[in-house]
Amino acid sequence: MGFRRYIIRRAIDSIILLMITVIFNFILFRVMPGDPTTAILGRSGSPVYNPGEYRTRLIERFGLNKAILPFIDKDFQITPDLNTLIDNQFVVYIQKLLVGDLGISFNYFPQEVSYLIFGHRLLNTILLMGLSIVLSFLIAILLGTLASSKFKSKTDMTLIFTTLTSYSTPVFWIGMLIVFFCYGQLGILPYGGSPRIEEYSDLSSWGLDYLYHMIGPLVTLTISFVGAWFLIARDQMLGVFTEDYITTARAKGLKERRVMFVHARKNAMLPMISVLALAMTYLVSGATMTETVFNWNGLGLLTYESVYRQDYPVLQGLLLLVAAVAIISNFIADLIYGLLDPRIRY
Amino acid sequence: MILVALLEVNDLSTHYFLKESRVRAVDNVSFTVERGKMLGLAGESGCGKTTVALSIIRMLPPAGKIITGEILLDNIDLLKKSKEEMRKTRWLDVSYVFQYAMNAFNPVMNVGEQITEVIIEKGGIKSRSIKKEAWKQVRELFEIVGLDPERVKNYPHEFSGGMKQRAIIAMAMACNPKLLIADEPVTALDVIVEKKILNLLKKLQKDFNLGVIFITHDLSVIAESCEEVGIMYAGKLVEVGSATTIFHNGAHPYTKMLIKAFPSILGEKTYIEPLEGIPPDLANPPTGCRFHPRCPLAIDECKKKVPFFKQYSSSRHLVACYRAGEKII
Amino acid sequence: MTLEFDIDVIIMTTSTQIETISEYLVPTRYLRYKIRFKRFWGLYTDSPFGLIGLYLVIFFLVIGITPQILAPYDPNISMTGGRNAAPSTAHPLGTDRIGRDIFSQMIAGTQISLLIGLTAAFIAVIIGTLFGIVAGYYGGWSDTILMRLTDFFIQLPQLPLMLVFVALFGPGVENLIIIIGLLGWTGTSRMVRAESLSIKERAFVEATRAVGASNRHIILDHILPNVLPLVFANMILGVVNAIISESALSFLGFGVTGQWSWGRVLYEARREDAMITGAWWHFIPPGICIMLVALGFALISFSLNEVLNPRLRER
Ligand SMILES: Nc1ncnc2c1ncn2[C@@H]1O[C@H](COP(=O)(O)OP(=O)(O)OP(=O)(O)O)[C@@H](O)[C@H]1O
Ligand code: SF4
Ligand SMILES: [Mg+2]
Repeated sequence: MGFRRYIIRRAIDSIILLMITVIFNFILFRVMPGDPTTAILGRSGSPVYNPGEYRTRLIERFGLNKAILPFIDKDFQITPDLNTLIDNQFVVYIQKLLVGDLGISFNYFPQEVSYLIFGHRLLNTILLMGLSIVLSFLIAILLGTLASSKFKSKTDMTLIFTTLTSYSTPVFWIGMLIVFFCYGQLGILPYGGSPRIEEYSDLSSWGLDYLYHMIGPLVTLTISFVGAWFLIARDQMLGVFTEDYITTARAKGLKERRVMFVHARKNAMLPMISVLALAMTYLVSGATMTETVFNWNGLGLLTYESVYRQDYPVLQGLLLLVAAVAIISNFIADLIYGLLDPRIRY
Repeated sequence: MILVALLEVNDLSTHYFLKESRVRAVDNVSFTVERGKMLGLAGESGCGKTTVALSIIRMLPPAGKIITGEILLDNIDLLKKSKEEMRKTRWLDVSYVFQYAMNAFNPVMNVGEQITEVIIEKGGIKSRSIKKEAWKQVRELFEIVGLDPERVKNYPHEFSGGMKQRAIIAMAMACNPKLLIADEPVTALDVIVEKKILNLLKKLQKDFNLGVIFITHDLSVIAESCEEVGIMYAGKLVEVGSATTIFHNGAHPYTKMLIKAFPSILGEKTYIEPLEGIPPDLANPPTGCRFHPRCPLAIDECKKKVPFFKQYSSSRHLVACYRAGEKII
Repeated sequence: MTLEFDIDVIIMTTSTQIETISEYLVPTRYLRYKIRFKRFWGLYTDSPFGLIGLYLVIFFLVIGITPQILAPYDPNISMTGGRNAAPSTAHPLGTDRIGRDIFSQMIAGTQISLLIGLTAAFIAVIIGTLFGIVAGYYGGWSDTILMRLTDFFIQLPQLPLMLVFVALFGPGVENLIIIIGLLGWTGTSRMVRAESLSIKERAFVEATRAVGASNRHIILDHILPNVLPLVFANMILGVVNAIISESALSFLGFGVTGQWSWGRVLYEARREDAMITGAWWHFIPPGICIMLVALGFALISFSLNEVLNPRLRER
């Protein structure tokens, strides 16, 4: 049926986009001037203890002395060499990618990038972000409905002003304030960190301490997310309330509850799904700023570290993960859209 | 035996209160609608037709307030009802086809669902058998309005404009209302479909002894289908009467000019005489007769005093004009 | 008489319709613009937000233009007044760990924060408008590709991406502006596309094309003037994002070296653990400045949107 074709088309789009991302990701980290190994190792302050060893391993593993792409050699010169057709860095890169090999970190040498990303850091980030996204989403929708049902009233205006303020406040500064007041002045929250389960005797004491440490970053993120989403939610609800079918539903003498929750909500939810899909990317990108302020050991902090230490393999892996999640969540959002909104299924 | 009219609107005034002005969209309007009769309400855009209709079902936008008047449906004043009572009255007694009806259906629910929901709501009790019964009714309704009953589960976007309009009429008939208000139900349709929908409305009105208020600015449509006609100008009802009276014996200068602007109505070949000028700003209406700035017959008195709405050629023909029936040169 | 009527109609219609109506009824162009501006101003000042925002932005712009006059000291020179000093009359916001005057740093920082914010937003809007018009006006393949690209970029979280670019290309004012600008065009492009699509369909463009007007003429004379107000509102919102992004990058230590910005003051404050030592004067004022300036732009953008967004206007 129509729906099936729509989904297949979107799936093909997504796959093409995924492939383009992979290529882009490959090229991005190779357009840096010079040989990637020297580009990496030539920088000062290199924490790699044995550059020579690292270099050999890198070259060997990624075929860095091979041509970059078919007919383009490793110095970005065009060559007529037919061997480069298959025997090039891109092919090696894809092969490695297919078996989940993202390379070796340079900062955490000799640890694998995939090990660094898909470990407790990912879990920390998913827990923190997941919780704050769900919380903020609910609050934003609730406040948005409230504000739109009292359009231009004092409540509405106050909510707008408050959320615009939180939208305009740098998230890391909110974090700093929380650290200052709740740790520095009042001493009711810890300074930061994300407790690791290995350091606790039993699960429940870890869980409690974990949640305790999560309060600061969670509050910070929620304030900032609500600031970003409230106006969207309000605008959507307002838009739906002026639609003709809502007027008709009221004229039909339906109960206001049914008008609000069956007729209006279904339609207002649609655009919010794309907002949620956007938020999915944060699940893996983590909140670099918040995690840095609170020393929350997630992927956001890893990003910061990697930029600071110029750990390109890790950055490359992180970027790929984020892009992949973005594409997949976008696809899922389209799928849900198609299920909820019959107009899309052409 | 004295028969009470189905709907009696007495001295209705509805104004819109804006930040710095007050739009007198409807002022002292009175008319009646009989059972099984169709009243056509005509007038230029912005003269308050929709406001009259919305006042009847009390669905005015927040700025709109009913200032005075009575709206008696079967001798019960709708304006005295509580909000909840009014909600129950809607669709059960009075149903409404909105001006921009094409978007009247919720795009994410199928058409049948949107009709059954009102049948179930107005039926009072909720049970599985009622639901089944409601779906059966929807199929019957579809048949009545000339739609394929197999398509009850279609979504609105799968219908053409004309089919949607039929479905809307089916929805309007769902609870067997006494009164149907149709606000420009055919304006968005092409001429052939328009004709079919009009015929359908006419047939339903006869078969179900339905009172209908039919709003349009197209006089030729009214000439074809309405028994009674009301002409509005700038928030005032200036003339009512039976269709034949109005079209052959219209007494108000505005009525006459309006009819001249639609030469095809009387089947004569005359020049089209478009109306000169624009309707007044209702936040600041002219004194006296609101038509005087555009009226060829205006005299001094017209500017000073509002003419009464009074009987003219018969008890059912009322006109508000000092020089009613005089010839326009 | 006609004039008053005109204005009343306007209250009921959307901005684009208004233009056509007033164009017919009002005789001279000067009067037309005067009426339009009056009407716009009336709607803009409908809520107090628009004015508050304007005042905030003007306040900081004045500071940004005249830092040399306002800053009491050179922000880079250690004072004799001591290190890590609390606020005093000589140093209203105290001094940092090597005795530099924090108040002067803040004043100096205003300029770079605003400069980066405004130029980055400008670049973003130019790219977005270009993409939007091409996609919306020419349609077809360019539309499909550009919109897929937009969808994708909207999905990507900006900050990590910015960080990767900083890691690859290094910090510096130009780099920062380019990076922030390059990643902020998506919203504008979507909106401009939608708008130029609808304008393209409108009758007057059809008519212009019928008399043989070129694409360039249609874009410059019809589409651009119509999307400019919305583009402007979007740019203002872009400034908020750019200012916050700049402060974030500077806070992480990837900002402009050698120049002060509010983000850099915060970076220094965190390096000195000001939150724990209780040196509130080091990190609270710069945060408030960022917040206020961003809020100023956000309020302006919100009020502009109230005027321009037809959906809100209809109520
Ligand atoms: N929500 C509102 N707020 C303020 N004024 C309004 C509102 N709705 C209508 N009006 C004004 O009330 C007057 C009557 O409007 P109404 O919609 O009843 O006219 P109408 O006869 O139905 O016109 P049309 O043929 O265009 O539908 C108009 O002058 C209009 O400007
Ligand atoms: S009352 Fe006077 S102005 Fe009004 S319609 Fe009659 S003649 Fe014309
Ligand atoms: Mg109307």
